[in-house]
Amino acid sequence: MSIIISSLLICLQPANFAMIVVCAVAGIIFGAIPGLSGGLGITLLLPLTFALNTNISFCMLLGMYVGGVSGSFVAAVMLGIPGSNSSIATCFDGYPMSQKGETAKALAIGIIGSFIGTFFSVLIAIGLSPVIADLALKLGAWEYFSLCFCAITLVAALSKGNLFKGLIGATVGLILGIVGTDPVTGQIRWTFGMTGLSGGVDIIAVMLGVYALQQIAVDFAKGSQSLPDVGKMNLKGLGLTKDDLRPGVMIKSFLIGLWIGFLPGMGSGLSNMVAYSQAKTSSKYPEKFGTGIPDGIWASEVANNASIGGALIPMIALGIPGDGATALLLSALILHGLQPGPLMMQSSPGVTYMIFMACLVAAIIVLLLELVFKRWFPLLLKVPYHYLYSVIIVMCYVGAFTQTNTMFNVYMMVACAILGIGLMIAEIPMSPLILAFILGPNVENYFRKGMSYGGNSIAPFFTRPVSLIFLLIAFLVMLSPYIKDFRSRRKQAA
Amino acid sequence: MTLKKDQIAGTIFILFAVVLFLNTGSIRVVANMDEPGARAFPYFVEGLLVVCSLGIMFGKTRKEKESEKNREPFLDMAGWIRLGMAIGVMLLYAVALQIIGFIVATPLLTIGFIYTLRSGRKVSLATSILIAVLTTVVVYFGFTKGFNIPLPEGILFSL
Repeated sequence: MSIIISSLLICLQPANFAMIVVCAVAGIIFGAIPGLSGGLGITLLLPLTFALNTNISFCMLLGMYVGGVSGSFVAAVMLGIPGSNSSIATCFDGYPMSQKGETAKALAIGIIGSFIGTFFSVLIAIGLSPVIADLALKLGAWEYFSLCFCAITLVAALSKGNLFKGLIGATVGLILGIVGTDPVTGQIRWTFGMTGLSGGVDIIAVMLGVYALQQIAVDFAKGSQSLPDVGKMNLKGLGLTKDDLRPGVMIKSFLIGLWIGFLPGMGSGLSNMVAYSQAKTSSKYPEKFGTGIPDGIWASEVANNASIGGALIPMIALGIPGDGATALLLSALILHGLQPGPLMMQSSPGVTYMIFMACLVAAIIVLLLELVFKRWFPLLLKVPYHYLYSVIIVMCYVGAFTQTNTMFNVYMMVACAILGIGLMIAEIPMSPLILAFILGPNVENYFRKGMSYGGNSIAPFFTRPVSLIFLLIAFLVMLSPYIKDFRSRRKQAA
Repeated sequence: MTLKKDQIAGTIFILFAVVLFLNTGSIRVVANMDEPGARAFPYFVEGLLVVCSLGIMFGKTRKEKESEKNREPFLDMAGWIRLGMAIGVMLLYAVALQIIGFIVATPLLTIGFIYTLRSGRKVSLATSILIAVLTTVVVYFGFTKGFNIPLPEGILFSL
């Protein structure tokens, strides 16, 4: 308990608190503007944190994370365009409600739903992470290899499009992770004579290249870099009454969001859709969904924010990111010399609990900021794209350069952006690439350790029960589209 | 159209795997080590890339084949030109940073970015200059004085 209180006090120190506030505001802005996201905000912040201590760095990053996930409902309600994929389902009822003249109510549901989702899911993460970390300590290299393999496969299989395309994304991520020095024997691999590559492909160059620059270039090429005008809307008061509360929907959506956030690689982007469809299916009036009813917004917003706490559990306890944003936070932990995983709670309890406390403080700050400044939301959506993105491009280049103080990293970032564009043309998803790039070195390490401990035999990966379960899940997920295809063919033939 | 695109992508990935395979042979393996060695994982990944490439070329389910028929092309001709322009500008900024440094390259290129991204809308030159100069000054002093992190000086100015 004392560590929780001392972590909370660290977050409330003036400099740390100010950073949470500033970055939460920035996060809401990034989340609210379609095309930007909290993930991009975290990517841009990462290089800034090199010169700062760990506490202030994570206060910044978590303020941005919480603000980013929460702020995405603003555009969904006002424009019918989700600020990020975490609020796709919010559009279904938020925008119709706004068109009916109930913008204030729709926004209030979004604000309160976001707070409930974040706050209580982080509380659960605080309680569950030590338990899962303790369980994880009982696992060996074989189980870890299979768990990482399973996580990558799940992300690859659930990405849009064909399974093999998802797996190619993951393979390209593994390839980028192999470049440089072999972690066991120190041999140089796949550098093609470039000394700049001997330390490996820099994580910041990859993130900025495939997340930020690629997106800006493709949006520009597609001519989709402008937003519709925000019309006049009634934003007075909260507009929320006791009748608008839906405790049943909120509890179910919360649990769905928490669970989906917990599963490796699946975060708020999926949870809001699943919670929405669950709320619709189990409702007494499903026909009203999509016409502007509170249930739809509660479901989506509580679920996507509940994924925050859910995603923190595997990140802290297992060293496996729950979603794209936690993948970036995981890389921030590594950049700050920490080793995420089951031992982190024992070796760095201060940082671990500070991360949880920063999330809770950020959730409260975001709630207050959004309630107070709600009437300014239309202004957020009027930020001119060309000014904002020009500054973001400059920040990307500065970020890539400052990571290693070499121009090589800047060229590497541009190369990663071009690679990202190429993969986007081939419809290869990016999330398996990022996850595999981050987990790749661990996957190799665990694989080699597992082989070495087992006398150079692959058998223990299949004979140890927990390892076998993870591998079976991975193979079943890979086979599932073909099983479905086979079944539908048989059905049609019958 | 999309099917053809997948054949091209699959072929490129297979060729890429072959290049990596040839390079993997040159990785030194320490003798008598009781573990798979530095080549094992690269070989595994290359194999996976080949299998997946064949998968995107020939392993589609019926549902995937049907959904692909309705897909629109990635970009039209004007879009490809704009994409080329975007990549060109990204490279130009990197080269400019290396040659003339952050202080000179950034305001010039920021104005360039603003005019490139405005997509036909009217943009005030004074506002653009103000944003370009402010960005350069804030970032420069923030990093070099605030965080003690140097920014590119440029080959021309460090001679």
